[in-house]
Amino acid sequence: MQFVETTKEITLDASGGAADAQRVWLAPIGEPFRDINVAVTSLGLALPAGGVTWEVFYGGYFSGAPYDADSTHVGGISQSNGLFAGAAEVATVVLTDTDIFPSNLRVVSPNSDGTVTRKGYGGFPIVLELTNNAADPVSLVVSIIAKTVSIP
Amino acid sequence: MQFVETSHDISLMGKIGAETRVWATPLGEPIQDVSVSVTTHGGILPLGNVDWAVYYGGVFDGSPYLSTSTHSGGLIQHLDVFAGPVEVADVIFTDTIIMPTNLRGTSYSSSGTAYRKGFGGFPVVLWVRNATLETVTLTATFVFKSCAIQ
Repeated sequence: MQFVETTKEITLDASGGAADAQRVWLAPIGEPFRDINVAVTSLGLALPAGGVTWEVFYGGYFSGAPYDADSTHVGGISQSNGLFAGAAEVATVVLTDTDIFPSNLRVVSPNSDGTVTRKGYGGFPIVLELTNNAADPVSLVVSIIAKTVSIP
Repeated sequence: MQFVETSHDISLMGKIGAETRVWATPLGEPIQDVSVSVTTHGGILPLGNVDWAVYYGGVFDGSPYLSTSTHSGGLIQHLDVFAGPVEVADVIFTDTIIMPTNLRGTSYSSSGTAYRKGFGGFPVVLWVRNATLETVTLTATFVFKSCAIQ
C-alpha cells in the first residue's frame, strides 16, 4: 500500500500578527485514501507561554489554485481541536482516522448562483489550522499522512 | 510489509542514577506499529528498580541518531519500572498509529539556537535508569513497519 506524506514547516507570527494563524493541507491524491494521520512536532523546542491552538478540518475550499502552496484555505468541517500548552515540547499525532475517503483531486463544479463556496477543487481536503496564542513567533512542523487505496 | 528492527545492548553501571537512552533507527518514510521490547536474556535483574520510559521527539546533541550522540527532551509516552529480582522479557510499549518520517532534517531557527540542532521529526527513544547498586544488562529492541509499497 502506498502512502502520501505532506510535511511543511510553518512559522506563526506572534499572537495578533498578520499571520498568527495558518493552515496546512494534505497534497491532493488522485485515488481514494485512508488512514489519515496528522502529526505536529516542535523539533525539540518548548513552545512559548500561551501555546498554540490547533484544529483539523475536512472539506472547505481554496481561495486560489486548489492545494497550491500560495493559496489559502477557508471553511471546512471541524473534526477535532485542542491546545499545545506553552512551555512544553510538541511531538504528537493530533488526529487519526481509519475511514476511506474519496479522491481529493476531484473538481467541483461552480454553483449556479455564482457563489465562491465551491470554488476550485473539492473532495475531502484534510487541513490543519494552527493559531499562535503566544507573544513570540512559533515554528512547528506539520506532517499529514494517508495511505492510498491502490491495488497491492 | 517491510519492517525495521533496531537492537541495543545496554549496560548500566552499578550506581543509582546511572542512565542512558537508545533509539530506533531513522527511516525516510512514515512508520507504524511501533513496538519496544526489553530482555535480560534469562538473567535476573538485581534487587531494586530499573526505571524506564519511552519518549517521542526530543533532540540529539550530536549527529542525529548516531550511536555516539546523546538525546535529550522528548515527550514521555509511557513510564514504568522493572522491579528486581526478576527476569525481563517483555514488550513494554506498542503504538499502532502512523508517524511521520523520522529522517526529516531540522532547519536552524533564525536566531541560530542550538535547541534545533540536528534532525527532528518523531524519534522513538527508550530511557532506562539504574536504581540498584549492581550492574544491569539489558537488550532493547525497537520494531516498526514502514508504510512503503508492499
